[in-house]
Amino acid sequence: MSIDMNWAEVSSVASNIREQTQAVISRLNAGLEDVGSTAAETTGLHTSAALMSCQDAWARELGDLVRRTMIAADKLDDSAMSTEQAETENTLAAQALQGLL
Amino acid sequence: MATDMDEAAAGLFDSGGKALPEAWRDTTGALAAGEIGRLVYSYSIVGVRSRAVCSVLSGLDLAFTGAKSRIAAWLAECATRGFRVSDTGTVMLGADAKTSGSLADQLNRASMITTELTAALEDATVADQRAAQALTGIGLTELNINGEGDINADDLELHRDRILPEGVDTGLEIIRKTMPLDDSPTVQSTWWDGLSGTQRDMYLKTVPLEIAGMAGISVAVRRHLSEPERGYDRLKLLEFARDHWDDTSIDWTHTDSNCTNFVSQAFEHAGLEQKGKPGFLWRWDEDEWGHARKKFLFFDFGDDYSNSWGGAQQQHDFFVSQRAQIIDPVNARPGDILYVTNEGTTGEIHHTALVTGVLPNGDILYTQHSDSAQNLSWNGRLPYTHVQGGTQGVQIVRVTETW
Repeated sequence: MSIDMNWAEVSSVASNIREQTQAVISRLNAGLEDVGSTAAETTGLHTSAALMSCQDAWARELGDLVRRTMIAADKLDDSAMSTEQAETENTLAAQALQGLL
Repeated sequence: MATDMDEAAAGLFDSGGKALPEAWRDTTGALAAGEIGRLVYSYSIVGVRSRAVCSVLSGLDLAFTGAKSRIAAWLAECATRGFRVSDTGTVMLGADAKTSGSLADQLNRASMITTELTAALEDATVADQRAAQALTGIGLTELNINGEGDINADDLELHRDRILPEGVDTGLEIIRKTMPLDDSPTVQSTWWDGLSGTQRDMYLKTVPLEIAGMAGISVAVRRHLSEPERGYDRLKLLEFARDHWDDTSIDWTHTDSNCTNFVSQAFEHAGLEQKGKPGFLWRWDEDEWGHARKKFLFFDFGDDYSNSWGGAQQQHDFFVSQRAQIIDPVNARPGDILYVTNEGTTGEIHHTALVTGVLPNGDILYTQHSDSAQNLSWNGRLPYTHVQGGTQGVQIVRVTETW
């Protein structure tokens, strides 16, 4: 099976994903805190209890999404690095072979 | 949070979903792109769902505002009359009752106010319960809503087509619930007068037909909604949208695309004059808008239409050429036209709909025909169309008859 990858581009995609996710994390935390504050301010209402349930579920769900995104970015980086190493080794091997001939 | 999710999805789509297949073209690359795609759909779904939740909360906020206004208006009257109000909301004659009139009249009034206060509190409680029920349903929806085990385009579509409208409908229902729609004109008038200018504006934008339908609302308010100085009645425009959004009897039969035809018919119903008439060989000029019976001797070919009647781009160009205003979406109002453009490709306008409401959180609601739908959320659909259907733009146009 041949590898058809521009490892520099893939590495750049991984960096972008990681950067964007990190930027989103702090805003999501603030958003979840807002949900909690709204729920606290409206204690006694049915909506308040429902919002608290939502906050818990969303925190779990978003945490999982962010974790999966970061793992995906790491795996992209790993693949890019492996391909870069393989390419380098191949180049060196080819140069060595040329030297022999 | 909805915006953050939209941005995360769009960012991931732009940097990963689009760029990765180019950078990594083999089978493993396709698998990696598939995982990024699932993440893009997941973020998009959370964004759509957050908007649905926002619609519910936005409706609840205005509903509570309306209920408070009702309660405040009645408490003010109690104070004026020297009535006392118990903790349970029962109104009693105070020792220093200040108004004239018989004791029986005063007791009747106190009893009536007790009923009104109780009704306002009950409505607010029902609104709270309804919102909580919706939040539990909508807010905790599974991302994998179709249960197929994978998060994909179908799940996003189901959230867009089912969960988002559910949130909007619930928000509107809650707002209507706390309005004194079935009360006497006096009660309605008292309620309206108790609202601040900003709150009134929210009601006018969110539920214009309900406000106009209240007998206790003044002629001036109704006139403000109709805006007859524009050459047509904007309330009639909205009535047409409400009554015919799913009415296939108004469709052209030679095409499935009736969105612009629907908007033209709404304007005709609202009293906008046609411009021009067909010339030689039934040709319409570009600066004309209308339709006419096409007859020749004994032959009747049915109605003939200008291109601006049923073509989205042509209608837009016609109205704008006649000095219609292009409105910043944040200033959209019910009765404006919403044109959808393909920003990512040609920039051409490909869809037409009517703005039928604007939620207190600024979300534009629009009604369209074929595919027929009422009060769709524009802000909620925009991220979806970005990820799924290429970048979409919107142009809001406010028509005035200048011919």
